[in-house]
Amino acid sequence: MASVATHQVIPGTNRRSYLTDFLAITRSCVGSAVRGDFRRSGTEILHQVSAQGVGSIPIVVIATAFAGMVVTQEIAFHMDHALHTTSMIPGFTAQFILRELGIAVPALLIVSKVGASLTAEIGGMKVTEQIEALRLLGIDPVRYLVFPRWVAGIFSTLALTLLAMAVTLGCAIVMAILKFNFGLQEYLNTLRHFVGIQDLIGAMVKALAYGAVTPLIACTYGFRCDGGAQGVGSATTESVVSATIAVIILDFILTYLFTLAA
Amino acid sequence: MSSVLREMGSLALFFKTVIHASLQKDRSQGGRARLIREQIAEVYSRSFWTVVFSGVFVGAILALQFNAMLVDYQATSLMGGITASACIREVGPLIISFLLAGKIGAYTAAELGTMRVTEQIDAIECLGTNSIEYLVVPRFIAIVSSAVLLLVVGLLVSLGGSMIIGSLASGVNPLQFLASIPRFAGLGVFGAGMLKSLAYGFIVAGVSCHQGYTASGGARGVGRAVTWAAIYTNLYIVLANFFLGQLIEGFSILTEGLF
Repeated sequence: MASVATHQVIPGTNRRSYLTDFLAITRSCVGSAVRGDFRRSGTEILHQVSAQGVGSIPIVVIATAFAGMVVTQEIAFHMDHALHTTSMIPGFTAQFILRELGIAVPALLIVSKVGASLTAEIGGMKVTEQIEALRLLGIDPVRYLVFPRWVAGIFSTLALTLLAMAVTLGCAIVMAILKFNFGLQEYLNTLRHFVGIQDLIGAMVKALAYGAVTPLIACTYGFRCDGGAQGVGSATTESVVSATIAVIILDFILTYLFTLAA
Repeated sequence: MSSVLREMGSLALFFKTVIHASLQKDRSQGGRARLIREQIAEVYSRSFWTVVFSGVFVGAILALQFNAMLVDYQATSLMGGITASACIREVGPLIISFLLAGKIGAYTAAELGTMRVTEQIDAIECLGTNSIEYLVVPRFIAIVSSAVLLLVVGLLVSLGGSMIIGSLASGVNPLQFLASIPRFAGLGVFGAGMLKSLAYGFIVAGVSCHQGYTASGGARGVGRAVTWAAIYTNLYIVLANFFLGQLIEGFSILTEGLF
C-alpha cells in the first residue's frame, strides 16, 4: 500500500474519518465533472443508468402508486377537519406531492436499493483487493468507479423522481375522481392555481441533491470496507442508514430554504 | 413479476411457520427468553438514537409543509393538530419503518444469511435442533416488539420536532400547538398509528428473517439478501399502508359516534 503514488486521492487507506473520505470522494467526483470526463466513462455511465435507474422503475412505480392513492384520502380527512371543505383536495394534494411526497418516497426507495447495492459492489471489490489492483495499475479508483456511478445516480434519481411524481399525482387524481366525485377537468383547473413551475424546479433541486449525495455516501462506505464478507454486510447496513438520514436532513434544509424563498 | 409473486408466496409460508413456532411452548427451559432479551438489547443499542434523530426531522419537515399550506388561510393555529394527526397516522410510521428496514432488517438478513451460506443452519438442524425455533423465533419476537416501541418513540419525538419548528417558523405557541392536537388526533388516530406500527414491525421482522434464512450463493448471496430485504420491506410497507388505511377508514365509519 505504501508504494501508491501520493498525489492521488485515496479514500479508505488511512485511519481517517468518514467525513474526510466523503469529502475527498466528493471533491474528486466534482473535479472529474468540471474537467468533463463524461465521454471517457460514457459506456460505464450508461451501464449504471440501466442498473440503477431502469432496474428501480418497477419498485418505484408500485410504491408511489399506492402512496398516491393514500395521499388523497389523508388530505381529504385533514382538510375536512380543519377547513370543513373537501373542495381544496386537488390543490393541497398536488402541493404535497410536488413538494414532499413525490420526492421523498422515491428517494428513500432509491437509497435502499441503489445505495445498498453500490456499497455491496464497491465493498466487494475492496475486500477482494480489486481496488488495490486498480491503484497498482495507476488508475484512480474514484474516477474510474465512483464518477460514473455518481453521474448515473444523479441522472436516474432525477428521472425516477419525475416518473414518481407523475405516477403519484395520477393515482391521486384517480382516487379523487372515484371517491370524491371530482371531474378531471375541474381537478386540473384547481390544481393549476396551487402549483406551478417553481414547485417542479424545487422538486428537481431536491432530487438533484438526493441523487448526488446517495451514491457518494454509498461509495464512501464501500471504500472503507474491511474484514471480508462480514465487513461488506455491516458497511451496507450503515450506508443505507446514513444515506436515509442524509436524505431526511437535506429534505428539511431544502424545504426550509424553499419556504424562505416563497 | 412472477419472481415477486413467488417471493410473496414463500414469505407467506415462512410467516406461517414462524408464527406457529412462536406460539409453541418453549422447549429450552427459558433459553428463548434469554435469546429474546439479547436480541432486543441489540436492536435498541443499534437504532434508538437513529430513530430519535430522524423522528425530529420528520416532524419538522411536516410542520414546514403544513405551515405553507395553512398560512394562506390564517389557520396556523390548527397546525398542531394536523401535523400530529399526519405524523401519527401516516408519515411517521412510514418513514421511521423505512429506516428500521435499513437498520434492523439489513442487519438481521446479513446475520441469518451468513449463517445459512456458511452452513451453520444446516449444522444446527443436524444436531436435532429446530433452526426456526432457535434462530428465527427469538429474532422475530424481539424485532416485532422493539420495532413497535421504537416507532412509538419516533412518533412522540416527531411531535416534539414539529412543535419546535411550529413555534420557530410560523410563530405557533407550543401551548396552542398542544391544545389543537385533541381536535384532530383522538384515541382513534393513536389506535390507527399503533396498528400501523404493529403491522410494519411484523413486516420488518418477517421479511428480513425470511430473506436471510433463505439466502444462497455465498457472500454474494448474503449481499443480495441484505439488499432485497430492505427493498421488499419498503415495498410491503407501502402496500400495507394503503390497505390498512382502507381498513381503518372502514372501521372508523362503522364505529362512528362510538368514540
